[in-house]
Amino acid sequence: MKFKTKYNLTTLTFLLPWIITFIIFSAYPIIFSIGISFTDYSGLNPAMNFVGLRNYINLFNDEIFLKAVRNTFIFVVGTIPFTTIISILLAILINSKMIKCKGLFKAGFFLPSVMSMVVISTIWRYIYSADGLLNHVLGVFGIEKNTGWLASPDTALLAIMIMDIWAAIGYYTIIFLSGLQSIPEELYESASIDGASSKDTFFRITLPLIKPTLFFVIAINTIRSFQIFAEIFTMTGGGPLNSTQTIVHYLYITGFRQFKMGYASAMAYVLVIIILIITLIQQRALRSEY
Amino acid sequence: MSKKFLLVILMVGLTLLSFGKTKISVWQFMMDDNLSQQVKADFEKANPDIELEIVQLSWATGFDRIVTSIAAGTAPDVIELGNTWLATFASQGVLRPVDDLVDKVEDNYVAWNFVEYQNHYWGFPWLLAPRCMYYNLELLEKAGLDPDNPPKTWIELLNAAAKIHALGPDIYGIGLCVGELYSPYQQWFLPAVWGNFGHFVSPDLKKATLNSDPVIETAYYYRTLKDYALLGKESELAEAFGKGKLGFFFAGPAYINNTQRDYPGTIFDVAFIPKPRENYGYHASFAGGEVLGISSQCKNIDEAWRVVEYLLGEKVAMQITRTTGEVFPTKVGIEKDPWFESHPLHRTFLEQNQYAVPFPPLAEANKIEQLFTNIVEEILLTNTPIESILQKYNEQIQSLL
Repeated sequence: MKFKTKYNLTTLTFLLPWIITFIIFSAYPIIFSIGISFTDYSGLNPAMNFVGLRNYINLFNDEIFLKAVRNTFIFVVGTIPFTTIISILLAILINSKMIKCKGLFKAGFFLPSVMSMVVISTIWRYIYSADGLLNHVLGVFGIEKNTGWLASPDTALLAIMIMDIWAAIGYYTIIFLSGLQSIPEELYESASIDGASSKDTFFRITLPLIKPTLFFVIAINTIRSFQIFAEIFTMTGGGPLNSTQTIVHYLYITGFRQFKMGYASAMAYVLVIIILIITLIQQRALRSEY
Repeated sequence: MSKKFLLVILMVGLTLLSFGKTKISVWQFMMDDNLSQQVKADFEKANPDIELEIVQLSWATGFDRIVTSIAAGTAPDVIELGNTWLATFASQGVLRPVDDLVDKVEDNYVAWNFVEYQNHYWGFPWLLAPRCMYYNLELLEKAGLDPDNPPKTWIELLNAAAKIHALGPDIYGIGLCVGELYSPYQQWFLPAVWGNFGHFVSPDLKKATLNSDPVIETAYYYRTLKDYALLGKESELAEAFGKGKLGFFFAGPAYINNTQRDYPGTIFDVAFIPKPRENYGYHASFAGGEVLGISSQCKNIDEAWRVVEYLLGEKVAMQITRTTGEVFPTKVGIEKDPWFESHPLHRTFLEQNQYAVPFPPLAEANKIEQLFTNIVEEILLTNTPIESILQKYNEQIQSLL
């Protein structure tokens, strides 16, 4: 046997466990779910009738789905800029010479990232409840509210967004921090000798050099935000009045509670297309850096 | 040598014996691990030919586990289901019709309307969990009301809630559920419709009647209550009630033990749900409960039936009642059990059962339940005219029938 053939066979042998796992647990479910998105499969009953594009067409006449898409976009647009900006600022602060106990700050901000979102959501449910901490604090300032923040359609989505920003910033701060620490100190020293202001240093050195990190953070945060589920499932169940309904939560309700797996699969692929388009746009926006 | 030989014989014997057993799996929500082990041991002792596997499901993920196991063709033999889920599962062919088995026990249990769908029985009523009205005795007294005579009609409740609400900025007359699935409509709105002799669907289950006069009247009354209400999730209302900030709220029996344990200083009682007027309507309550179904994938029907019959029995069902305090057996004559003598609040719930009404057996029940949650939230959280809310949802429900 030739060396090259032997080498390829050995490589394939070592890769085989991963390939088999990938086919069983990723490739097959993806292909299967694309298939059932064109059927009326319920999930409980094995009967499966081909319905063509009907599921996809119905999505655009489904008021709740359109509301879920709108809410998801509001969530994404309303959280990502705040998460990103706060994370950068915190990372710069922790990286600066002003802060002494850096490890403590890093651990403090990172703590929510290692907690389960279900646990975080449960804690915040108490903060937002009708008789909860937030309403008590507002009461001190004379603002009375007889509804929980998650029980009002005007405030529920905003409340979840605030919680999500709080929970996410620690993780992204650590990523930005590693990006900041990779910038050579000499650049800052040269800028200082040349008399550059803090603002110039940030916009001409720091920001350009952490742009790859920035793109990475925005891209993964976008994907994560479009897939928001645990917070909604734990805190509101999509209510009140579908004001916190998001694409993935509605997909779950449709598939597992209303037994329309075909229709839910169609939603999943619409979400895939949305995420793909947005990620490509983001990549193009920062293309010059790659 | 002879010892070794005996050991081998014993091993082979045990192996053969285990192969001879029929395994029956039960997926359930209500028995904790200790109780499950005890039930398993007792059952297997009385039925040595059956190996019983009891799996406890959580309310958060249990429903999904059942659905995925059915889709994968690995459904358990016996499944505990909420009674509102039954028609949906039956309509999808997930459950085995059990008319032939029901004949054997029909006279011994109540609530057979929990398990009827399209003139067939699809399971066995196991446990009951109606809703009652919780009320704070101290707040009633402070508001100048008679704590021994809680409100029995809608107007009495409205007046009492208004007086309690006036006690202070941090005190609320009544708690009404919003902001989560199911409880907003189950705890009182739909039962209030029933108590007002109204229905959201015609008796033949073909015509939506949400825009009928009894429903409209109920919705107007419900919106009036909002002025004296704390609005929130059921757990939030229970917490406020425990802290002595809430005059009345409607819920199942689970909060008796929880409130007594977490807020021992709160003096409260439970009463029947108020009816519309003194000489009109009835004290309708939501008939929540649990049923046991046999999966259509089950291959050992006789053995599964023996397990169901054992679980239905007074011994196991009363053990669940004593352990959880959240549900009651469907066994006829269970009110004579001495446990209820020492648990008067639970006894009231048991008596409330006579006015409990189950959700109509509709294949699209899950979707309609979600619409009902929206109806109540729209009544309580918006100023949209009542008639237009009910008309909109009437059309949506009609499209699902």
